[in-house]
Amino acid sequence: MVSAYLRRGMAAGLLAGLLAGLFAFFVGEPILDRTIALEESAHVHAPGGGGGDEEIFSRPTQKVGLFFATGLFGVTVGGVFGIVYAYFRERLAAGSDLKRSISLAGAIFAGAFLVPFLKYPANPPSIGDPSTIRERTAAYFTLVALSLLAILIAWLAARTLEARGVGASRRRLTVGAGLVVVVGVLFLLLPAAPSADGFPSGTLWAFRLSSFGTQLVFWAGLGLLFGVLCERARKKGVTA
Amino acid sequence: MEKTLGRRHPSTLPLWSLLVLALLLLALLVLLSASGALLAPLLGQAAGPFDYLHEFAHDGRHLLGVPCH
Ligand SMILES: [Zn+2]
Repeated sequence: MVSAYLRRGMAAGLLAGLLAGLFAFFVGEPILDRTIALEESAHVHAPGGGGGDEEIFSRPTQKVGLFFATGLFGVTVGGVFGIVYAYFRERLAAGSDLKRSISLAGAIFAGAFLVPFLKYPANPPSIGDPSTIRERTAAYFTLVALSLLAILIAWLAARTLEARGVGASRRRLTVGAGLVVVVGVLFLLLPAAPSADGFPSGTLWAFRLSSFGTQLVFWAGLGLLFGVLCERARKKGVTA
Repeated sequence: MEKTLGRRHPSTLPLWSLLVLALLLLALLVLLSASGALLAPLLGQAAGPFDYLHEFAHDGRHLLGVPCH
């Protein structure tokens, strides 16, 4: 039965990844092009700044690569989602596969993207010192892992409170406040985000919003499509 | 089956699916942080081809919000 969820997760993930790729292509790429043009004009003025980074692929090729990246991201994340769903399915309170799938996707979106985004928002090329990329990558994935862990603990705490008969509104308040404190402490402990000083803030935030939208399209698509695939299998009488 | 048994213990995952899970997470990490510079300490010379993956998936990584430069 896990293999059926794995398969559905990968299929839903591939589709959601390509949908996110479409969003990124039409909304994100024009802004990314603008930021690259800014980067190049800055390089021309920089002392001794010749061609900048050596480009292995042309811009049009990198735009094909966008779909490769979001598609591959979708298949792998979808596979992980399917396995995680198989584990949590009987533990989640929601009444149907569709509702369960959407709430799981929402929880993972919050932990894997939303919380890290608040501390380390997406950046276009040229922001951040290339010599610190290793530390910044490590800090980012550390925050992703810890945010997911915080969300998992919040969910466990909510279940424990429920079992003790604590009412829904008090439960939400307690768990919500605890989560805010934990995330706040994580934000204080982890290194600061790279400075974006000097970068036009309109373009910067347009880029960040397009990145946010790309992830939102992906997780909404994954939650919906995976849920629909599960519902369809159930209606056909296939045992999951 | 679940229904005939009533409230039974929730399932645990079989070993193979945990291995698949670990492999998928590793693949994801390589895709999202793929660059020869980052993987060289781990892979040595073999990290070279990842530069191509890094550059090809470049726009996707930026728009998915992962640190890149
Ligand atoms: Zn980049």
